[in-house]
Amino acid sequence: MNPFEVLGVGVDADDVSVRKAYLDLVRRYPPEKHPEKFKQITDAYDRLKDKKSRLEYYLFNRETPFRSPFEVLISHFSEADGRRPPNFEEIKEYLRRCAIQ
Amino acid sequence: MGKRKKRKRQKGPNKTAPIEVLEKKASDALQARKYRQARDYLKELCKRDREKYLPELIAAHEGLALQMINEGRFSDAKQVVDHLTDLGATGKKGWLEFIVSFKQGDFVKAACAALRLLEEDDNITESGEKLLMYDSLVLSFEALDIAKTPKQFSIIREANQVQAALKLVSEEKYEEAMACLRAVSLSSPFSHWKLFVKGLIAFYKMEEQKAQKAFSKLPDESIPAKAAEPYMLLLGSREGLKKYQKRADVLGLACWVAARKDLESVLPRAEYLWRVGRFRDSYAHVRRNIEGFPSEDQGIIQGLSDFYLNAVFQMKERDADRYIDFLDKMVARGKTDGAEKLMILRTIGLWLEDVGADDPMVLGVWKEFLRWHREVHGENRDLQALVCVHLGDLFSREVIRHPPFFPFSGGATSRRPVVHNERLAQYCYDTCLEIDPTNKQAHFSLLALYEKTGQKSKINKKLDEIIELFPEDKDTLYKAGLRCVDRKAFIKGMKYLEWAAKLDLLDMRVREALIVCCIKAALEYAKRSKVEQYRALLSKALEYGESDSDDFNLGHAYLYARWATFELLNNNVTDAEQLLDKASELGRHEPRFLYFKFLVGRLYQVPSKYMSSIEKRVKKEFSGRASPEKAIAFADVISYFQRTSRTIPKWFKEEQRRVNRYIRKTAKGEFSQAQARVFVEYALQNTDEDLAWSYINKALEQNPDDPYFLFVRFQLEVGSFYGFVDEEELDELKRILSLAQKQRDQELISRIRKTIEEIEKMGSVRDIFDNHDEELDEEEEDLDEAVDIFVENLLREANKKRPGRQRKKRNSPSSATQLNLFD
Repeated sequence: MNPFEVLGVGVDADDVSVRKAYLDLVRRYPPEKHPEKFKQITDAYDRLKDKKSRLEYYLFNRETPFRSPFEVLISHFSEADGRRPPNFEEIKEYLRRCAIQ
Repeated sequence: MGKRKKRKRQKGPNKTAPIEVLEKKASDALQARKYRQARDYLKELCKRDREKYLPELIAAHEGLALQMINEGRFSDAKQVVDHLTDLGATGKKGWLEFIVSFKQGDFVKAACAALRLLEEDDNITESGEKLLMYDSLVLSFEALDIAKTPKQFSIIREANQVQAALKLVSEEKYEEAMACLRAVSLSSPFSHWKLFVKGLIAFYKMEEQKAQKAFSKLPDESIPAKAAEPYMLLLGSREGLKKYQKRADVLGLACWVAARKDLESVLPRAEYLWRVGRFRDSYAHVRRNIEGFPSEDQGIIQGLSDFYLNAVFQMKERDADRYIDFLDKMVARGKTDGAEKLMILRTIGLWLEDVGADDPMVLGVWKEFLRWHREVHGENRDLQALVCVHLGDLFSREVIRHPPFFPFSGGATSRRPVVHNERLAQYCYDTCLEIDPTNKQAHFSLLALYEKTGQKSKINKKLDEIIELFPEDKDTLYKAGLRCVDRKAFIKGMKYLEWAAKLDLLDMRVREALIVCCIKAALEYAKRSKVEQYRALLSKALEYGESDSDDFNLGHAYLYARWATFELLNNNVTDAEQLLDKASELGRHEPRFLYFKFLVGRLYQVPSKYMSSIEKRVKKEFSGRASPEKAIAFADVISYFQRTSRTIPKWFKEEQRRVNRYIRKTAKGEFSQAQARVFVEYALQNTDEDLAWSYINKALEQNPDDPYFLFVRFQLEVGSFYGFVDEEELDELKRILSLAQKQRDQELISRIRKTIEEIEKMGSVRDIFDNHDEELDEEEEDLDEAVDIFVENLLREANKKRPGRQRKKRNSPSSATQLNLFD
């Protein structure tokens, strides 16, 4: 997973905002309750904690954890903070589409 | 002339055909599910005997209607169903009316039909049909006022509860939704809807396992089961995708569930193209259909961009070539702009580095990247400097030498690494320092380049420059200190090293270098009888040494012994004795310490009158029955002196022989495998193969599967003739490797691996020569390379052998030279 995505910061974020995002996430996902997520957050922070490492990642990263485009969507969705259901009309439409297909 | 299409006339039943023929044809058609054909024959038969053939005609109509529904021809199906009414059919007619309305999306009408059918109940045999009818009642999402019987009232009430629960889920009122579902019992025909809603609640509450459990229990043919598939896909991650990756409908709905309706029509197709290996088409499809792709901004589009531009590094060579070519053409044709061009240039640059493209080409792509980055994002000096250092490091990488094809052709090759492209590396570092004169990484990389290429004066100049710029950098101070020691500028060197040691007192490497510097300087003063000076220096050495260490440089006992020697050089016998007493109190390993004292005295040329008593004691230690412990101590001491003396006097060679004799004598007695290993290493360092063999054979008698001795035996037998190692010998080496792996002997494992690698490399070069006649055309380039290596090696060897052209030996500031304490 892209560390910028994990921390929820942009490529042009500064040290302070990266640190802030990291601390917010660590508080939200303490290691005792979310060990995997915590590791992901700390790994991402290690890769982005200073300007040089952010630039290095931006310039020279060759990795992608995905094998196909759809995996990007799945990962993006599962990493998102919280999930909100669609409104009732959308649920109706969705179920009816499933019925007809 | 265009071809005229012949229209095939549909053959109807022969009106004059006998009944038996028509019956046979109708029956065959029914069996083959050719309902339209069967209907035509049966129509004809009905004209002759309506009563007899009407049930079969109705069955043909029903079959035809179902077929049409399945094909999505709902209006045609509706006509057939209407015709069933004319025929007076009851049976499946109700069900067909329901399914036509259902499939047409008229859920209210379908619900009404379902309610009627469920009231009758008798005609519904399939459980799937029943489920669909109940589902239609939920999907109608209308207050149905058509209930007439208590049963119908009860069915509608439960359907409304499910609808209400779904509404509450959409409003994130999960507790209330659960309460609403309590009215739906487990035995209710809507119990699967209850499960579905529970799954939804768990999904949106991020209780993934709970959601998966609920969804997985849904009956296969139900609508909730279909509706749960996209959720399961999103929950199942990679495994989920594996299950549904061929179902474009599920992928599309998953985009919807993931709140990315905009990707619904793009991503399933992109996924399919990617999965079948049409990577370029997949990229083009996404690029064409997703606005803003590729993007550097945060979000899923950026995730997709990252994927599409980094995936090339995981592709097979041929696919990667084509993909890069495709990206390159887009840039070359001016089809890209902004972030896309930037991202593509970055990918091409990295890819060219990986495939070892020409240096100017790599440099050119990165220059274009920097130029374009400036246009898109404005000036970014940090980024420019980083790219320059990156390229400098790339060009200054050490080139791996191929082992000589004829290893017997000459002596050892130069140990200095070969730099890939010194000129371009220097250019890149200089450019970086122009952009950012205080770029630490560039300064250090440039220093490393000078060290690799052995440019002594540039090294010294750069070190001074770095110290001025970064006075608190321990490594720089350490390196500068070593350089000064190498130039015999001891006082300056001591200043740098002491400074470095104060920055990190735990770094033993720095402390040892400082002590060595003190000893060297003290020796100079001792030779000139400057007593106060050398005493001060040795006190400083003690300050940075370790009282209980057995290290010959760091240990206080050994420092006292040296100091005593310097005192003897100046005839200060009493001081020397006091120092030796202190040393003796600390010297825990008597024969080791005694032999060190003796050799130090002799090497520093202490007058013989002070050496006679110690000489006798040493002689006594060497006489009598040999013990492996003593032998290890002597080997340790003599090896230290060999390592740290640049020139070896004649008498020292006699000492080496004395130690060798003692170790050989030890081989006749008992010793452990670990002790034997020390002796073998010692023997190999001294190129005394006989001595090594005496231990190897005996150690292998004790343990025939000892990987260390097997490996050493292999090395001694093969020598450096790696080009002639056959498959069997290579297999044996691999067996030894597996033995070493079992013992987890990391050092030995890496040595064996390195040897295997060299043998295999040698084998590949030999193969090229062996096969060159057959594959000359295809392998021309490889062969040229092999010949180049061969000629290069020969020339190198020839140059070495020409005395007139021999280059003056340069000493790099390695630990070996800086530890040179006796010249």
